[in-house]
Amino acid sequence: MKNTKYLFIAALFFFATVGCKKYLNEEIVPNISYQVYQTEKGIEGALAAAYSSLRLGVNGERALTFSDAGTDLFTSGSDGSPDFNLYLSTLSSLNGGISAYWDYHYKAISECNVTLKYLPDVTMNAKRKSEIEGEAKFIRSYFYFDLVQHYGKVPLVLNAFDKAQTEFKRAEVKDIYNQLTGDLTTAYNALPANAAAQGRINKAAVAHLISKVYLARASATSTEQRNSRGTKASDLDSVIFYAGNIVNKQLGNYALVADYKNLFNINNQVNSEVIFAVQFTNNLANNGSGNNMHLYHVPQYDAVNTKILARSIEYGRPYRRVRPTPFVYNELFGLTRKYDSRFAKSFIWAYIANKASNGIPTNGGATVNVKIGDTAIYFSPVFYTSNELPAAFAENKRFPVYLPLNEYISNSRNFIFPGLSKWLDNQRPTTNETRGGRDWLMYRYAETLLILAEAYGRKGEYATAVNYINMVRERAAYKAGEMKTIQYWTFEGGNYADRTKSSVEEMKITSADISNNFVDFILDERGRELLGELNRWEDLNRCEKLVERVKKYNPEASNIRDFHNLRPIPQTHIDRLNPKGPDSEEQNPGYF
Amino acid sequence: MKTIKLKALRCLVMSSLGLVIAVSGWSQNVSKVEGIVSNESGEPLKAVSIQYGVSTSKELLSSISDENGKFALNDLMVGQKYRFDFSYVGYENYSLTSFIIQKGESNKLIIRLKQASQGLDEVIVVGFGRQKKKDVTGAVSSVKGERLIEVPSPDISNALQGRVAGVVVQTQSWRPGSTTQIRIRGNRSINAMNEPLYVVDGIPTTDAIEQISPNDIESVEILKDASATAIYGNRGANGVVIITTKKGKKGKTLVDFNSYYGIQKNKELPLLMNAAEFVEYSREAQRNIAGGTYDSKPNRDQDFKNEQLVATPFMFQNMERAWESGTYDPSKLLSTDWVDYGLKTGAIQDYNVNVRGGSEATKFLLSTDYFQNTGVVRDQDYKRFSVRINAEHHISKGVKIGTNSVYTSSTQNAGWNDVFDVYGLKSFNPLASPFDEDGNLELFPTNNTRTPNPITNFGNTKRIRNLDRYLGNFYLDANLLPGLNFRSNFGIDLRVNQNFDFNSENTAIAGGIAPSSAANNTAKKFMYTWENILSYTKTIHEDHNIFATLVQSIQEEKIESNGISVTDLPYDELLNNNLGSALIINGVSSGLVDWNLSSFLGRVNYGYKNKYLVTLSARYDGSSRLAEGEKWVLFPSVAFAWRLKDEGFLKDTKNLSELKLRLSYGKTGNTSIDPYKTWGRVGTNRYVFGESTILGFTPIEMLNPQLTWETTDQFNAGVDVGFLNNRISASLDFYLQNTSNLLLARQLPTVSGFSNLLSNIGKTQNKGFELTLNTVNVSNRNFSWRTDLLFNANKQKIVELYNGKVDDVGALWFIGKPVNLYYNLGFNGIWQNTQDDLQEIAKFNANGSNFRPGDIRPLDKNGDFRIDANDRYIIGQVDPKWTIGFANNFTYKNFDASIFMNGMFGHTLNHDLDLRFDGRYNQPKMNFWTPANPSKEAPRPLLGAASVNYLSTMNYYSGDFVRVKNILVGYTLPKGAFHNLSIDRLRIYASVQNPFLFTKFPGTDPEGATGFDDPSVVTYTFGLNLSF
Repeated sequence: MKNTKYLFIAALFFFATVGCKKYLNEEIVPNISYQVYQTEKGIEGALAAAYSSLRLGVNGERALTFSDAGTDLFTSGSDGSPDFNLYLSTLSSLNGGISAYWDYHYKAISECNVTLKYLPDVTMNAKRKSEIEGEAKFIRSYFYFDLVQHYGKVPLVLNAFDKAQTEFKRAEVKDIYNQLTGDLTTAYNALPANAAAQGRINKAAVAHLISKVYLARASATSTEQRNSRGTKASDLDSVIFYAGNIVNKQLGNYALVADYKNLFNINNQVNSEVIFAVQFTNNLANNGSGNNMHLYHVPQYDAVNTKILARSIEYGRPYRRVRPTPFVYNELFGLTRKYDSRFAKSFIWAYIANKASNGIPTNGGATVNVKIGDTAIYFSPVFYTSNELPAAFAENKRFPVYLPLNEYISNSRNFIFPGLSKWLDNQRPTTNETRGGRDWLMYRYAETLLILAEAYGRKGEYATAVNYINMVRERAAYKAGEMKTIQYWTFEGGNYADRTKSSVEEMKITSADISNNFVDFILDERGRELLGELNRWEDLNRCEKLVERVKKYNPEASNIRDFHNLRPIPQTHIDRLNPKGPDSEEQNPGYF
Repeated sequence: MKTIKLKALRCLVMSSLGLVIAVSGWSQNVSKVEGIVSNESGEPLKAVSIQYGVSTSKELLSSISDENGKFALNDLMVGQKYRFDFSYVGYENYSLTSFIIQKGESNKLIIRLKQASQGLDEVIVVGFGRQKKKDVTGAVSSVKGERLIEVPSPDISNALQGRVAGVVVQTQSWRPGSTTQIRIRGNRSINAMNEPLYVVDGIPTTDAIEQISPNDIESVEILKDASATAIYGNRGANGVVIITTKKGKKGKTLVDFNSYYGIQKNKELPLLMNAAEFVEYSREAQRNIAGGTYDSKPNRDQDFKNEQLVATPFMFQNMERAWESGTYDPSKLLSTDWVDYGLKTGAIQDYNVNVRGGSEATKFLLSTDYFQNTGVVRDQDYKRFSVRINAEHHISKGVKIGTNSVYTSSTQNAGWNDVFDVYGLKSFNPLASPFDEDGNLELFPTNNTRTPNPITNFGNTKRIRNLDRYLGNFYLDANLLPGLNFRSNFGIDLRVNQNFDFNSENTAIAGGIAPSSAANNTAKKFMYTWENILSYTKTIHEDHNIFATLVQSIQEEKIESNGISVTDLPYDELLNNNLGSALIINGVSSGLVDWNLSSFLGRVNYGYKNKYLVTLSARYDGSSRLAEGEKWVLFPSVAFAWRLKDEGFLKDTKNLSELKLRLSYGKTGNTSIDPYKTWGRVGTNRYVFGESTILGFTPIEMLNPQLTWETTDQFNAGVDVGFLNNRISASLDFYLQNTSNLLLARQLPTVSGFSNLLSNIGKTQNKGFELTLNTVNVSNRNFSWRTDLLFNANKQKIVELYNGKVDDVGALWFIGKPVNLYYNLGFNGIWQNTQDDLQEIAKFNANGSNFRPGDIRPLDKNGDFRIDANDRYIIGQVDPKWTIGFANNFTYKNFDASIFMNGMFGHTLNHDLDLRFDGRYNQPKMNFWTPANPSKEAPRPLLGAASVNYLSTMNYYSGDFVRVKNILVGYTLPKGAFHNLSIDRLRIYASVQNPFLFTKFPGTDPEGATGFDDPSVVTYTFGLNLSF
């Protein structure tokens, strides 16, 4: 039959592919696999990934929400979320912010753990190897320090897993502190004073962090907290040892930047005060999601009068997530407010018109023609009685928009207020670009001085403490020849003639000023110096002052209770545990 | 001439032939047979296929009837017994087995074919072959092409909705060109896909099935139980949809033209507040802020200090108008209907030309189709164009080659997301105007820089989704030996996806005052399949029928993709065409995915006396995606059927025309493990030290060398029954599916460094039943009425997870419950300013809550006066518990009509209206609480909060509905009308789709239009079927 040839073809087809065993081999060409960690490049990359995770605090609102929102210094702006700011019941284990913060911390910790796990088997320079260990332990400690301060007892995970793992017990707070001091001591010994590159962790960075850790342990005043944190009598001496080494120039030539304003000048990011800064860049390809902090403190200046003031790169994109509490404008800077350049230099007090328009009615009751470069919005920090207010408006009728404290202090006006200027980033390519390139100046020398001062102060050695505090306050003062702002003589009661006079002497304090209520004083001073630099909640909490000061200075957050001293453990964590303990074991009190 | 009536033949009574008349004339050795084929009412049928030959020989010749139904078969041997087989789509086959050719000039046959009811004699496509429906042992449903185009539908899945028991088709979105979701017998998998496998002319594929025009389809078969799907092995678990396209026929070239045109109107979106209502709402929000002093009556001064009312000059004037007389008069306010700016009247149209013909040796079909739907939302539309060639050529007797090839090109303008929702049209203050005094669009109509005018997006953004596809098979088919057939089938599926996005500068989507941005993403997917099929048919001693199939196949798919996104193009006219000119390059990506599959399978069907039927099959599958040692898995199946009707004791039961019992078991798999999963994955990121860049390596997926197929063991028991000559027929199937080695992305505590891990741990179970009932209620010369009723119920549960019989609350998986469900805090009304409520509030507030009258009261499930994670509960399941389909078809003389309804029940919807109650943005009109209006439905507005707490508890509604999906009336012009124009058939029809919906659901549509999404539509269509 002639169809037999097709039979032959059929047989040929049928077996054509059978013998080809390679057909089912999988080539993993598009992906990178774990083998990369067996190389030097891979292990440096594992460490770089951990560095990169440090950015996540300011890649979104994570650090802002946890460290500044709902403190004595910041409350909700008109686009802020109320749960953290006002301590609502939605600040619960189900809150997405609660799990997001937890998740990114443990993700970063696992990157450190991966680095430490694969490191011993990689063939490379021994010195570099021990440096890598130090850097990884520093980063891991940084993240655990956040966790223990916010969540209290947390699982202390020090291994990298290659099998599914669901059993995790929460470690005692004191065990976590002990781990931190141990790891940081290792890092301190391993790392050089001068790091190989800008932004790498060096000995001073470690000294700064370890002094913060010892100080946190030493700040506990109640027996309960001292037991919980495992406070030791020597803790303050440890702070003095490590912070002192920085101040005594043992670890490098750190010094204060002469002008507080210049410290936050975006063109002066590499300066003598930087101890550790998380690196960002204006090259968007290497910048991940960038530093987003420039968004969050900006009020809605661009909606006040669109004819004369439009959104600009310089003034930023107004997310208005948080705003300073009335306490910050009214009381924080105390009697020396007019001498303290930090008050003038930390906020945007005036917005300059970037559009010209005629016939603009001012809220003082006049009509003005506005040119580019004229003042469009002017804030004054003075509160007037209802009798004084009309006169104040009349006096300032040349400003298209004049806003005394009366006009921006209320909750219903929380879209417009003098916003913090420290994080602004005018180097972004476009007005709405969120991926900023400003470094996150995490540890700076002024804080080292305040840490050292706090340690002496807590020991009762006020004279020594004053010495270091005055170094910070002198820098904050106006120097001779430095022009003060118009506020000095217009609103603050200063003499016009004194407009370029030094205020260093007025800024100096003595032991008598601080001996009475030292902890509150140092918290105020830290507030003035480090306002909005993402450490306030932790400061209040370590001093056991969170509830007291929030209730006192942040009226909107009056719902705060004692259990808010700890954040809830995320439900996503508890739900995934197996075996899982009772709520009393897995969750913090007040949240179940 | 002598006429012989052959009515006495047994087959005439039992089977399809109405009447046969044979006439013999004079002859010598050869003679011819002439005749005419018509339907029951005497109308001639063209292109009826006729196969004929000497009864004892295996070799058959073929012919075809002409346009008048006539045929002539020459050179037939006088005195020989001949066999004639007549077949025609939509009619029952008829065979005349031993017709003796008479001497003389001609023999005459007059054949009347009987229209197929839901006949069990029809031949249906099963995997890798065809079978008579009565011989099928598994649960297989078949829908003929003409049923699919009875009602205008853009694609197959729409046409299948409510047509097949056990198949649930759900509209997910009403956007033109969006796909519908098909589930056969529920979901089995938690993590892997639940999409069925589609086999188009032998080519297995899983996506973009909407690209095949329903006009080109001969039949769709749905394989539901495992005895049917097991031959698709590792991909059969979710059921298989076999699509067979139309083929050419020998004879006169036939042309069909099918077309419809329709207009579409949207169903109403939830009603928003108008200007007067918004003013009240805004005042109420002001009254409720901490320390608020807003007057409880309208107060001019306060209104003019309220940012939400007077933010722009237009709004200011609007409020001045209302206050002009000194007292507030809301009727003077101008109110803007923002949502209306996003809507338009849609159009839908389809044109299909289809040419079929051929000779003895070569048959072809050429077809082209153009479909367009402009939809009801601005900036959205979809169009599709396709050309097809199906051709077959006989090289020699019993050997043929052929192809079924289609090229399709479709373009979807997807429009922008959130056109209505979030900060889209629905959020806009009705006091404000989209335009400035000069009639130009205002960028910030409420002076709020967070909400630029969404109307600026229309016409200024592009969301183009192009898909170009070639799908074709090439085959060689040879009858090697009597009964032994070989077929080699090579299929190609080439898809090129292009996604082009562009946003003009200074639009809402760009973020207000912002530069333009654009992105191009392209993926090329190339897949080939090569199958070699040997099949053998043999009848031994009349009683033993054997049908055996042996297949070897390989398949490979390779997906190569790349993309780039940029910001700040030099000018908007460039669109996405010159990305290199942009100032900022945001991202560059590329990817590759490649997988292979190799399979061997065998199947034997054995029938004894056509009463006892057995099917055995096994497939051995190997996949590149799995780790060494786990690559190969065997998928067996077995099925029995017993045709009781042919047993002696039932043979003479007149009213019972069919009774068959079926029983099957089989194992199938689910392939949907992504390639490279077993290797673990390390991702990259970048960090800088100063300006020097370093690449970071971060673990993304854990190593996972143990992964294997998810498999399903499936049992099916069914009965097919027919009464009164099958005027009433029914199929009932019960099934039980146990899925094991479930692929789960099990949730891990993130403390471990990973949030999840894909693993083979867990079991689910599906059980359910399906009923199909077809009746011919009335059938006479002028009037007929046919009813099809479908019902199916499915119950799914998770049997076991990785921890054994322990819930995974983190992933929302609960033992004994369905996979997809809603688990949340519940709604328990609004706190009232009553003594009782105030006492309760105090108890909650003591535990950290801060409730006030007018707030949402969440359900305190465990009664501990504390709202926390322990108060969550299962609110409902996502998938329907049961579905029905109900179709009625009528014909009266030349008129035809149909009405089709479907319904789904037992599921819960998440109806998220994006409520905020913050007094800043507009939202649906709701009966909100005020001190004077103690509403229990909605909370008091509250300025200064981004949203009121616990709003999500208000989102859950029952999804039950019954829908009249289609009503259609058609008219076929009488035959005589077009004699001169050589038109064979002209039918015109009008239909309305989705005219009525019966549901308690308060939103736009419980199916695919919950919340403030693209609305569902009502379509009014006129159509034309023309044949010549």
